[in-house]
Amino acid sequence: MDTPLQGVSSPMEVFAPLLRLVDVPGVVSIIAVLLFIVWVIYTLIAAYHLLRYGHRSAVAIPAIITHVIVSVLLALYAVSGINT
Amino acid sequence: MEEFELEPGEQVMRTVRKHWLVFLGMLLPYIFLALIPLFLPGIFTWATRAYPAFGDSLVAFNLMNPLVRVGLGVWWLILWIGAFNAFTSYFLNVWIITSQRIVHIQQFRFFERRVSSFLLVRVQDVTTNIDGILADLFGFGCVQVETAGTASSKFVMDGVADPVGMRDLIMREIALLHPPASGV
Repeated sequence: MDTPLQGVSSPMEVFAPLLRLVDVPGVVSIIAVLLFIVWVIYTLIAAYHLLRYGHRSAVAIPAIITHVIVSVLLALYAVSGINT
Repeated sequence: MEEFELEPGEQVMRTVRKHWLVFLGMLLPYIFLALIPLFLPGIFTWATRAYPAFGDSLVAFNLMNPLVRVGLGVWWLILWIGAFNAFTSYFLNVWIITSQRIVHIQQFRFFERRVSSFLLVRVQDVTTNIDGILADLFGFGCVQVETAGTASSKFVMDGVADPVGMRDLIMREIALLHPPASGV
């Protein structure tokens, strides 16, 4: 005969054993590497389009520089979470 | 110019993009999605108080939690890429009015562009349409240019800044190409 379902005190009681099985730093590292690869490919393609089809506009290069700076700042924010 | 070469004596009169308010409208979803996580700690704290069954699991979601900061940084980075993509699309969709023709450059997505060019002498009709309070207040709208001939076609650009000025410019350039007949 099946045992009846037991109540849990909190959702963490259910997920805590699963979280213990996951190598969190490893998963974060993999996500960070994948995101970095996607970001590099995207940035190269966007820069190519802005520079080639931007009609020599003065906006293209500052836009690319802004994109890189903001991206680096956001990445540093994310990494600062890992280091603390 | 990479997409087209100017003819001898041809000058670029104006380069037109969508109005900045239209661009801001394209950014709004990204701004909204970026702000949502900032409200989550407060909502989770309230939920924990209202429903004690959650325990302290939701309270762990605060901006000082290292994993939350990683997730938030990644989330904002993804949104930033999306917003920059919207800017790229805005920047590369352009109408170029020269003294002889109109060039309509459409960037659908990366590596997918369409460049349409039509001579001003073939323009039959230019229509502007300003629809709505914001469009009227900030001065943006739709410009339709219809060309004559056997393969007549209509070129439309929505959300253009100063559509009336653009129409006047096109009509002025057309008038210069068709000097009035000298009556004797």
